[in-house]
Amino acid sequence: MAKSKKTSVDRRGFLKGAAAGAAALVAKPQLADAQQAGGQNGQPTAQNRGVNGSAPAPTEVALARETGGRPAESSRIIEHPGSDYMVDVLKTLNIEYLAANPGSTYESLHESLINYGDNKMPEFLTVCHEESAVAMAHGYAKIEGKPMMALIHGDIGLQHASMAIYNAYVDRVPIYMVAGNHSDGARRAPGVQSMHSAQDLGALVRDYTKWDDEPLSLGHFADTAVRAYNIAMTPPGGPVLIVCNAEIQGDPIQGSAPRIPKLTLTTPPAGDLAAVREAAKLLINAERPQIIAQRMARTPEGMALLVELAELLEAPVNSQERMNFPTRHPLAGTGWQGYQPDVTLNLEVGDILPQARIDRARGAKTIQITSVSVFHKSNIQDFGHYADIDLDIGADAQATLPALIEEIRKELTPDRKRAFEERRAKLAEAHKKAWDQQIESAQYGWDSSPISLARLSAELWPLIKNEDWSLVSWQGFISNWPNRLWKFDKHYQYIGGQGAGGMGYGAPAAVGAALANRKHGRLSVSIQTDGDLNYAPGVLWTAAHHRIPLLTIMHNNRGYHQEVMFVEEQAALHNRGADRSHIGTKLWDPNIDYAKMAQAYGMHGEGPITNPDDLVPALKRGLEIVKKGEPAMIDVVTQPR
Amino acid sequence: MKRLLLLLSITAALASAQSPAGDAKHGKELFLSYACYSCHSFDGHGGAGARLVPMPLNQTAFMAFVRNAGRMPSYSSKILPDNKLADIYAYIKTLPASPDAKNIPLIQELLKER
Repeated sequence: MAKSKKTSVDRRGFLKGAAAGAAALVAKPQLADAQQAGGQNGQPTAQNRGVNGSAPAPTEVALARETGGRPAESSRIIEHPGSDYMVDVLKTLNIEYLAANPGSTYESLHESLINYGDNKMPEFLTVCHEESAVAMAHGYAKIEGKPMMALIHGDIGLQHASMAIYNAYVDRVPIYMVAGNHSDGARRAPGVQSMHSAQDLGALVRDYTKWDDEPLSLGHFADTAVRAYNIAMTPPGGPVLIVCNAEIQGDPIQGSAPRIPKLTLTTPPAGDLAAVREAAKLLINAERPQIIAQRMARTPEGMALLVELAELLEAPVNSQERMNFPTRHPLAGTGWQGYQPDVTLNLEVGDILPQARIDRARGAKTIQITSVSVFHKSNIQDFGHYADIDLDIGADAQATLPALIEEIRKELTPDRKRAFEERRAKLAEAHKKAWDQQIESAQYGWDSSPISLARLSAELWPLIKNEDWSLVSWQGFISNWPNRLWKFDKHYQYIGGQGAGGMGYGAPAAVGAALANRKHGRLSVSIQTDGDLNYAPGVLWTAAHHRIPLLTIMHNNRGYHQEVMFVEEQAALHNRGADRSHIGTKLWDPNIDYAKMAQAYGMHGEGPITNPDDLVPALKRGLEIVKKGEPAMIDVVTQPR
Repeated sequence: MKRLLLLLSITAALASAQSPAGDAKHGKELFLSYACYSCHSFDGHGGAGARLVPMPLNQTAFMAFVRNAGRMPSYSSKILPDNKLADIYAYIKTLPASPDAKNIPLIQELLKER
């Protein structure tokens, strides 16, 4: 081992010790030293910012303080630890970033990444909670279409990360996770190292991790590392976990380094041709077909294919969860009033039962294409209900669309084409009418205080519409107002929701998506719910520290609003008053000051904005800062929905 | 939705207009403490629940609806007696209407953007 583990100080152990006996350390005015060595208020200056990556380097005084208590020189030096080789392997995967909260189980790999690997590909991002690290990777992958890495500390870090892993699993999003572990019981130190290690670490999250492995040698690590990337990316995507033994990380490389296998992505599974032909016939002969797309468009190409299919069939498209279809396309929506589909084509729909029931009740045919049909686990019930489906194609929907489009083209007769054109005219008229109604309905509560979500979304649109913008937050809690008012026509303009409905996803996913957008020069905007932010607000600091441009607009309804409604409903059901429904559900008394929270984490923050007339100037100020490459937050006190 | 409107219309037609007059000030307190705002917004302009402004029902029809609502939780007279409902109704009637979309330039711009 490179150094005595018995003398090293574990992260959690350090914190515990600090809390118990070293309160004076907190009170000690060390900041003064840092202020002298650094820039204004002790912050790193442009001169001492790190050259590799966006994080600033520590000041000299801070560095001296951190290293001052260590032994002058180790009696044993390992110049080529296994973790250097691991970095070589990781570099072949072209992973841009890793997000991590530091921990001793991966300290050798940590050091190799930042020094041997020069903190590039991947670049280390400091995160204050493992849940934030994984959720950042979740948001990043939805924009970039490939995994980001999360580095996780032993069993405690993995338990912190677990909720975010579950969200990504249900959302079918690839995430590349590496967790440290002191696997060898004879070598790990008693106490903290034992408490933070597990016999089978992957078991903690195996129910909702697509694949995991614990390699026992460097050669094994290379094989596992490349395979893990492949598995994460093969539809349905999902989080994968490599448990990385501290011993293999820290021991020297013996002999020549093992060969690193070449990464070749598995082609996504496409539908059986006979089944695709049957689907084509059903759709061509339908009088009122409908396409429902959820986690369908994995890439911009998926969106283009869906437009092609919809225009070929002249069928309405009900897009959910992802940016599958342009919102202002004449075929966007569910058809005209009374449009009763006789065939529904369901593309990567999570739980198809509600739609299948509707179809059965009206005698309609149900077609499903989803890769999830060929990937199942038992414990977690995210696969939903078993449903009556007429044609179930177990394949990736996006990969199957080219064949479906081709079959429809081949089978399409001039008669059907004429019928389709008539349908299109009616659908386009219905779309326009529905769209206009949506926009006009923004008038309700226009002058209200707290500010309506419609007003907030409407006022924001003219400020961003001429930019290359991206909405990096879910719309479910804001009544889908951006979808109803804005023009979404690019794949990266929306990232969808949590996946499993787990709160705490929103803020870190927005930061991760904004990180992915940064190199493309896009303007990232998040309408952030207050309840979600308070799970792990430290990610605001990550955004500030790594200069991730993101405008966060608080949807501050001062509570867990959905739960207020649920408790009210239960009170009425139990024939009791609803006047206590605020207990356990509201975030008031005191109101949380999000502007100060943002400022405390090092970014521009202003608000609370309660007067709708104050909204636009505040949003403009925030956007100005974001356009300069920094994050900013505007706290807006809003109506519940 | 159609069924609901039909029910409301019938109830309203059958209803007597001679319900007790409510106290809007007390109604506001109840509107807030019973978290009516959580679905209908603080100004009654709707959200997860229906718009209450302008109120389409007379007081009796409103009270009948609350006693046996559809998707909305129903409140019995035990927990919200008639006089309290009358107060809530009186408060809702004081809430100002939204401006018309025709008079909101931003909405008109959005409509032209198609």
